[in-house]
Amino acid sequence: MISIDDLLAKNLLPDAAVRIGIRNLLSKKLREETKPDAVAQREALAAFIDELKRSPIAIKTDAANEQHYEVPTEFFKLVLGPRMKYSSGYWPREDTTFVESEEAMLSLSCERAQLADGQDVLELGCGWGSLTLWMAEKYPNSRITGVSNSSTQKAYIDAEASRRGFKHVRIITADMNEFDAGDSAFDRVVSVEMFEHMKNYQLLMAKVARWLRPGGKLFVHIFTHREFAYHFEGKDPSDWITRYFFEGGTMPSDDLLLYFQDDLAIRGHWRVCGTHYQRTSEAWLERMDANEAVITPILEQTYGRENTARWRAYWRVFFMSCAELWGYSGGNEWLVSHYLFEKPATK
Amino acid sequence: MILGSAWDCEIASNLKFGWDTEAMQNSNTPATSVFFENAKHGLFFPVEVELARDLISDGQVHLFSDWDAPGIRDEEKRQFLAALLNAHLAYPGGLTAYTRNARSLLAEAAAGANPFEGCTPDQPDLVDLSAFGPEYDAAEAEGLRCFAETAVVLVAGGLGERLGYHGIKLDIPVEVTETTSYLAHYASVIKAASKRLGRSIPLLIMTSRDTDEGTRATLAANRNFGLEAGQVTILRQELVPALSDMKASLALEKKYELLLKPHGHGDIHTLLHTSGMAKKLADAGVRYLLFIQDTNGQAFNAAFAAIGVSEQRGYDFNSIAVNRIPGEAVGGIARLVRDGAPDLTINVEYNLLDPLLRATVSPEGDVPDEKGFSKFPGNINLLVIRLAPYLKVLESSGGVVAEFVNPKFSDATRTAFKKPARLETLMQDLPKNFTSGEKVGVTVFDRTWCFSACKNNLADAAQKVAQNGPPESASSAENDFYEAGRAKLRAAGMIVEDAPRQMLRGVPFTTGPRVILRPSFALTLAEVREKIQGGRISGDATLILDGDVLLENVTIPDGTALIVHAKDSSPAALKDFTATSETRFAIQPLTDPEMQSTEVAEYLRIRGYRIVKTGVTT
Repeated sequence: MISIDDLLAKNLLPDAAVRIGIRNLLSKKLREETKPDAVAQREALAAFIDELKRSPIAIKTDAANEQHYEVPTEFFKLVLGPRMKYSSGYWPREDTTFVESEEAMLSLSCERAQLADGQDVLELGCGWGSLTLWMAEKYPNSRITGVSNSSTQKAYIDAEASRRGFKHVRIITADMNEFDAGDSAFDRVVSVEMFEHMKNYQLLMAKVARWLRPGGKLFVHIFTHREFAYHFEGKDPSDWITRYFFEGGTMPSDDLLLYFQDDLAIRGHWRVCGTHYQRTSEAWLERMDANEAVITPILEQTYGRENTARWRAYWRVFFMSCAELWGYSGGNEWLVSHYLFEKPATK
Repeated sequence: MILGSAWDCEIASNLKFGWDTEAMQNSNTPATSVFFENAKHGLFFPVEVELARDLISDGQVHLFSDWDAPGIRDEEKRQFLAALLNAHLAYPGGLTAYTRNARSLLAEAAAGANPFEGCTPDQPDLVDLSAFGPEYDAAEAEGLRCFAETAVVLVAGGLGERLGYHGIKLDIPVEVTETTSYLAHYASVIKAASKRLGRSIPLLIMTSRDTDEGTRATLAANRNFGLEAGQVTILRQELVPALSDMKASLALEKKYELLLKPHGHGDIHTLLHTSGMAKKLADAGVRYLLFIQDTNGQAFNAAFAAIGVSEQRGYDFNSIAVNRIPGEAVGGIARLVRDGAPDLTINVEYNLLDPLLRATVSPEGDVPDEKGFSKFPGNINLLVIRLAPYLKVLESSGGVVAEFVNPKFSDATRTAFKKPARLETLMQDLPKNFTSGEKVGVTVFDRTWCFSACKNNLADAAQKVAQNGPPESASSAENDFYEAGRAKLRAAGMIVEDAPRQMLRGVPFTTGPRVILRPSFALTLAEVREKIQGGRISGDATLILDGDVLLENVTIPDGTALIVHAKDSSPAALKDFTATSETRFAIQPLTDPEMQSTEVAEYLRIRGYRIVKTGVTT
């Protein structure tokens, strides 16, 4: 019997069929997560929160990196936009361009994080530095520290910062379980689509609170489901999306972080419609297809010539999955959520 | 392969990220090689590495020598560089300017240069408003008008260690009848004046590392005490590095930790300059800055008249001062007459003033006048500065005002220090930077009227009283707060029967009547006169007036309390009326066990009594 995997590898499945399959899986996921009644629904979330509180800050970070973030930067340069933002963009208008969408979300994030020039800012999970470098550009008197667990990402940002003459940016390579930024060292901590890789938000928020100065704020951008919170677990061998792209990750519910206010108090909470991420994912897919000729040799080098077709299909299905997930139900099911927390000033 | 040249080039450029190769060869001596090894690991911001390089060139090699390899004590190393950068950014011109200034001041100190060489002290240009009268009233009326174009600068960087109080001093209550903190009191004046004058009067608060968090927390918890959000600006002063030798080597507390010391309250001038606030205020139409200290509940009794004097006499720099007895341990303001230079009116510390007088004017030194006072009035650091010339001085000095250094040399060779020194700056020394004939004057007020500090614990205060000095305790400050209220009533023609003075833990206290006239009731003496006519208040009575109230021929007998909190919409008028009340206030000294008990609020223990309220308001 021929597997879907093989069909994909041989490029025998049209995109339309793949997308129908994805939508079916998503609707199955929603049914799975829907408990028999409202009481049970709440209990499931409570149990999930308890489980997170018993977990380490993050698990399986090496796995996620090997699978995903250690793909050569050159690949992402060809897929992502000029700001190298590997997270949802913001598309305020019908005719917003992909390039504009990166900048619009960066700008919105800074505004909601209440950034101002002269602050000490720490970015947790800085990726290829889209926000770090944006902040460096907009706030020349601030000091921006980015933390990433990927050395290739550090190398890329360091080089960019050097090229652009930024002397107030530094990138630290560290695992979130071990990273320590020091006491009361920052006015702002910002984090974009990194908390999804974490588990124990209680421990994480306590750490962040310690790093913040009194009155300092934490801005978090994560993707969420409007109601359900669940783990990404590669239980099913066919679930290669999880295994290859998101092992150890969490799909938080929109309200999940609100249950972790022991050390930081919520000051702002916003939702961004899933269609923004849908349009972002479609743009990545378009760029991947448009640059196929240059991307193929990169995939060959990374995965080996014999696996290239399969991995090309994986990446394409991954982007299609993202687009379908956030496009589901007109973007009202899976969302992007923004939060602003504050460390209360104490006497 | 395809990853190709672009990417590889980037990696290569990254290897020298943050410093250029040539400079590295210059500064990368064997002693500092491990430091640069750390820098290569991305531990620091490039701007920090650049600063390190500058410091190494400046002779501060010891800061970057003997470092641990990357991976060891990284967080301490990061914080060390962050502390250096912080100190660098806080000082105009950066750390190399600081060490440059330090070297020249240290050389002068080692040479034993006398800063007053060739100076002859004379009485400063002064206006004496120590008694009420038409001159006082005219100045006050003028000053209230000018207050619409004034910003208040509150210098509040110190903790109350000497008081035995562990919070910020601004939180200490100036009175415990209704328990109003100093900050609440200052804010109430600014709020009332803003309302009266139809202009949002800015309040700038200089905090320090010690007081910043507490000050912000107090403002937040009390919603800025009714001031608008944009009305209050906090400027935080930073510490400066200590210096371990004549070469101005920056001293280390321990490995990877800079030894930092307070630079002094002259930082307020720097901060007003570097923050751009002085300019911003000028652009917003502010003409005067009134500088007040954290615990002087009397400041606003005299402030309006002093601002009026500045306006009338054209003073660019006006010190509110008190009559001082020769030899008293408070700086005297003198006009120093110098050959070949314009006169300099400046505060001279009392231990320098007398020898200077003996060397120049008279072998008798500082002698009393017919009233028993020195010709050189006492400085209390309550200043009125005209903004336009101030801006020019800040501009030309880069905001650094009249620094000095006071090293304790270990021996007569004057080459080594007993302990690290640091540069200091005092806010009252600003006239030392005047170069364009700025007019400096003094306005003298009755001491209790304009000044009562809260800085000594009760034991120290009692000792000072025993030596005929001012106690300057929380209790004497509260005593003086009520005394000012009584003085206002007397000026308005009310008969005030003072209770006998008692000693409370060795500090004199006139127990009553306790009079609090809130700024919402009256800002000036003239307003008190308009609103109070005749009447009588007895020694064991309490009077608190808040809001629009008129008292005509009102008697407040012993054992009663007249407390009127008038709402904006309904002014209260009381005429031919004798107060009766179930409510009584009584001063209740704390017992010895209470003085030791943490159950009793610290702000009560620092004064040795509480004021209890009994009965209910009728």
